[in-house]
Amino acid sequence: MPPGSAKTIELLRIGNPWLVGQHVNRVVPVFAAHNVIAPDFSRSRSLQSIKDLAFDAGLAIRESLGPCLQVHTEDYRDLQETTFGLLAPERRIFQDHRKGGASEQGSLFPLVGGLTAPAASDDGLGKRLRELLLRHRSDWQRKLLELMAPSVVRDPATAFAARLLGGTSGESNPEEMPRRSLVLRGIDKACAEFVDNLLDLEPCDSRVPAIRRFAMGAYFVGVLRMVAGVVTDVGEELPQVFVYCGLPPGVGNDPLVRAASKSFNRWIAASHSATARQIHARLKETPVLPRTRKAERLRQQVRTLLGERLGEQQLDATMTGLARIVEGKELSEEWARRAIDSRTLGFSKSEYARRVRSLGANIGFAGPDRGRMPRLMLDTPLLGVLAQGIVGRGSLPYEDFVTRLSERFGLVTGIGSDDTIADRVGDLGSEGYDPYEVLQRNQELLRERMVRTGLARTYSDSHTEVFGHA
Amino acid sequence: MAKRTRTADQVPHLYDDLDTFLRLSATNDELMPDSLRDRLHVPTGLEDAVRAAVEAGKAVAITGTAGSGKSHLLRTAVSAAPDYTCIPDLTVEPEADWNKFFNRPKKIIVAGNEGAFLVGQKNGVKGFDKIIASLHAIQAGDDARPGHEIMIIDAAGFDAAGQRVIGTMLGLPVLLDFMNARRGELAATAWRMMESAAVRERVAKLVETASAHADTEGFTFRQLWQCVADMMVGNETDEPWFVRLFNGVNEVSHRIARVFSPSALALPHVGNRMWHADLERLEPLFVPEAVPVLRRLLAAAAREADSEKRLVLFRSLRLLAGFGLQNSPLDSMLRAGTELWSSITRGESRPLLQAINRYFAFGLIDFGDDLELWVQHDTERRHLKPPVQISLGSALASDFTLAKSIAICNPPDGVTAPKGGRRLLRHLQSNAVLHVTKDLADGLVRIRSHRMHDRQDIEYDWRLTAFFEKVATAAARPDRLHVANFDFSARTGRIMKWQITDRIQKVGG
Repeated sequence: MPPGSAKTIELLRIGNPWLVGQHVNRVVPVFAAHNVIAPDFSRSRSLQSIKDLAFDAGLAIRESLGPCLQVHTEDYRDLQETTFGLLAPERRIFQDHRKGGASEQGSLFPLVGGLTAPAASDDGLGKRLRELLLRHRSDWQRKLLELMAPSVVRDPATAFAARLLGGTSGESNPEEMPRRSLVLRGIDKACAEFVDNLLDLEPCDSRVPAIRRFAMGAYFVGVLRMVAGVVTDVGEELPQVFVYCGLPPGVGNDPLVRAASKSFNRWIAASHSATARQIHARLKETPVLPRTRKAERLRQQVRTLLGERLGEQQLDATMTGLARIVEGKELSEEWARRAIDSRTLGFSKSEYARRVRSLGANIGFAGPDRGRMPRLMLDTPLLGVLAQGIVGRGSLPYEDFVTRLSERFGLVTGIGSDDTIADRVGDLGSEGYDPYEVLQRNQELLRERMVRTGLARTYSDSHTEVFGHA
Repeated sequence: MAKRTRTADQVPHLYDDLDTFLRLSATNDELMPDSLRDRLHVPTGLEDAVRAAVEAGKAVAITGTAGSGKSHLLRTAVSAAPDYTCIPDLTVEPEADWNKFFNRPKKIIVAGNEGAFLVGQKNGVKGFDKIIASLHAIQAGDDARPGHEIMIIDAAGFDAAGQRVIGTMLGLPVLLDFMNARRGELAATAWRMMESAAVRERVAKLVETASAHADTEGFTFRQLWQCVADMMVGNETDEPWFVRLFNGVNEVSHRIARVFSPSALALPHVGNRMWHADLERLEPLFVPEAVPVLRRLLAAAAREADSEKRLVLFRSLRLLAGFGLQNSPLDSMLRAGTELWSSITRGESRPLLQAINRYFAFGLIDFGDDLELWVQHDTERRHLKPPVQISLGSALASDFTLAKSIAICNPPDGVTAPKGGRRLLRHLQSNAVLHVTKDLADGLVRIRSHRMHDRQDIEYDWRLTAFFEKVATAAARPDRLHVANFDFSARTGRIMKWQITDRIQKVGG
């Protein structure tokens, strides 16, 4: 079994179940969005035909879409291009060269609820987020249903999708909320509230951009929960990471860029170490059979925990894959650290950083696209998502916005209304800049960008207000 | 040029006051000596509005950021209205008292930054909701806000740079007298150029261009004064103002340096003659007020043996030529930036709508004047933008206006409200507003990049699609779908049109 294979990586998920995907990759916003939305809708029978329409209009029309389309054969290509462009702007549906039409894998842009289905790929980010939302006490589910199944169709994109679905936006089938559940706290609460705010629409808001913001925002908090959440799970403070706020990606010799890169590496290291500690803690509390030999105990504990997630056959294969790092070993924190660094798991700090950068780059949250000094950043569309997710309805003084970002998610963009942040975030200074200056300059860069893009307004020298629905 | 005053010569301490004032880090009204107040006064039209409001017995609210001229206006009002209650700074008044200010018609003038009024509105202070609503309306270019008796002045919105206020400042006689009396020969001789209206106009235009370039609120009076002060006394050496204008440590100079590079100034023949100190042929080309400083600089350059120092002098000469030539290439450089920006400054919306259409189609498809409302719905950042683009509808060109923001709301009869500095494309049905800046206009002309790593374009895309999104709330039609398809490598594009009723059918493309 190759290092870091799908099965051995299950050991990591004992410590951090948010490390999803085959190798913590192939995780993209549209899949995550589907996994959040789909449980509230019945799967449409036309869904596969609509996917087919993007590759083979003739096939889709013959199979089931004939009644809703009046298109000449010579226009089939245009119809395919239109469908692909409208319903798969991320190019996340794929042609099935063997059978013709589209593969069953892949997801359409969730224009309406009827186009959604649980993503069949190994992306579990949306599933984790959905579990979290189910514990969030608010009317988010009603708002999600209203967004995904509008009672009135106002735009042609929605009309096109609804027509393909036979004149409906989809059949809603809301999942029942658990009657009792643990109250969300900390970053879990922040993530749920963020997504909740993205579902908060004015009656006249355009729904297509709103769905885009929702998909990007759900993915954004998913990635944050993946990296930072595990640190709070082991009882530590939410890790603070400095985010470069100039126009991305910035240049390598900028002290802000250097600070962001150093901070990103520390953030990843904190998450990596917390994952090892959490693996150790969870295995330690797992009971073993009486009179189990010392050399057998660890294998038994691992098998028990993995057994909660995997079927028998998969479990056997996984235990075989993990044999080198489990057999005859004794449980300790050091063992957990070595295990995740080992070739068997292939999840060193640098590998983790590479994967998080790649996940973040999907929404302009990390970069640069290639090259040295990975760092967190905020691309302009993501800024719009952040403003709505953090502020919700109404507005918020800019300093409070900056502070909320760091308090809720550990994203440090400036000093905000908390002077102590410069000490808490670690050594940011370099090349003659002290941490305070770095934070001040970064905060000002973000403020300028937000004002320029209409997300914030300056009211006086000392008062800028950020708007949730700019 | 205003009439020269000799009072300054008779009162030498005036120069000390002026020197102190110019060297203050915050050149604000409160710190301006009374001896200077009249001499440094620059009329803007806002004072007339305040006087008229006072005569009509209206309550007045003056809002604006620090340095926008609130205190100066208030002082004007106080002298005109002894029976008025004046609140010079809302923020220093106890918040409990704010409710008394505008709860019924009374003779009161309140000045404060907009943030303070916003806090009052959030806390439910009587009358503040109307003030904020009116203020936001005039900032969006909408002056139709009747229904209350308070005149509101948006001092921050007054376009000091666009109204070329700095030109008037530079022409103040007291400044010339001060330079003659207190500064070195070269700096004083250079300042005499300010007696030329053409030179002052060029400086003012340059400042206006820098002000319009990015999405900020233009320049405040304080920032303009700081620039003037820097040009006069910013450097202890005998540096001429035209060098200091670019090298100064002030916001105006920083922004000028960002939008204009002196090395881009093309001086065919003139540059050559300056290098060879050919004064005889150069003199007739310059405005008379610039000739004395030209002589001095040419003589210094000719004397200078050190080649590096000579180059420095030559760079100063180039800048002098930019402002001092009768026909300066600076004029055409400031006009440039494109025909589009010129048409925007004339208030023509159609060229702008065409440019937005062209920009969003990557320059590959020509649309008419009606604005296509493109939507971006890709959730994943790839290396290239999606080659297929969806329009939510199109909005008629006749439904848009291109206007400037307004500096006064609810002025008394007979007073024309001065314009603000923001240029706004407004869709009448949806009330959506796009703030049009010069950098956006330049971006539109450059045409959109299809590569995601051109982050500046991502920002323009975002600004425009946020506007489209709002326009679409009134203009989207569910029965008509326009889809653009681009081939970025072949540089072609085409449009497909679909009709959506009980069936989907192709109707064009």
